[in-house]
Amino acid sequence: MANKKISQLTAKGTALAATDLVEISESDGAGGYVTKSVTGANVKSGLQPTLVSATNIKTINSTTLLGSGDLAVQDTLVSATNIKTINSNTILGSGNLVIAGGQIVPAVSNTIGTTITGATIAMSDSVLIPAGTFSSNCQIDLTWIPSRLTGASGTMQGLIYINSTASLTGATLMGTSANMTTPSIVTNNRCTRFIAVRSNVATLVLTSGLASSDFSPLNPTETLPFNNSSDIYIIFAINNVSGVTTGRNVGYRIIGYNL
Amino acid sequence: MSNIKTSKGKITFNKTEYVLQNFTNDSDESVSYALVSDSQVHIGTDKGIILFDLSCTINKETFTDINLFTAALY
Repeated sequence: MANKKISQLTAKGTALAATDLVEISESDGAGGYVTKSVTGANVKSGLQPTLVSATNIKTINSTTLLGSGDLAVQDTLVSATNIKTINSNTILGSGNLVIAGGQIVPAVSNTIGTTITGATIAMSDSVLIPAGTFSSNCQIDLTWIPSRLTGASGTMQGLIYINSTASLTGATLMGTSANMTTPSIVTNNRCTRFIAVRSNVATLVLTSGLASSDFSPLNPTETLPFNNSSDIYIIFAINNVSGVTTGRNVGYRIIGYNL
Repeated sequence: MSNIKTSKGKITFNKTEYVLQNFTNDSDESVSYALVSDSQVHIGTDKGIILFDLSCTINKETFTDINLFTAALY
């Protein structure tokens, strides 16, 4: 090997073996060098091990990062370019996005309810307002249409109740229509109810004389639980006061305004 | 069958306690209750007007007369 250039040496022709020796010049730290040898094993131990997907290099959603070519990734989000805005406000960035109160219409129906006969208060129709539909502070406009179908005489009323189940037993009265007494023809009332809910407690005005009480300056006379964390059923009932009428509910609309 | 538990001016139904109190009826009179049919009654409470009927028991007792049913609540 003496007096030979390295390019003149015989090529090994195979990969470095652990027992092979390589000559090195080790720095003595003072500007000089000392000739030493290291084994093939010494050399390999200083190298990064072969990458094995999911073993010593992570995957992205179970897809290997190994191989050639680009890895497809989502473009950088740019507000109003590839991600929409809300009322011209960006939704990019950290922290909480406060959504201001707004109108919610959880139920509109023109359903013809069950016809009620006999001197009783019975359910003609009902609707479920799922838990979380409204906030704990909200205002609700409720409109319903009771219809007096038959009866040569007698009074019929359309009533609304709320309950945690679709049952009148234990239900809370929320409104009573005006007395419907017109004989021999079908008559319909459009009834409204305004409900102010603060911290899941609702305030109502008087439940009788609805047409006047909803629009008069009467003080609230009731408070009732209106828990937005639980299911709430609005029940549309018919009261055939004297038992000689028949009636049913023929539509309703519930609009809430979360505050 | 749901049970109503009574206790000195209060009733408990479905784990909710109601304080019995007057309300204004259709004739603008202050009343504690209003019979609405042979089997149903509106009861005034601090949580609004509640509809009860003879499907309920009162302190586990069954009633067939709405007047006796109502009297048992007070």
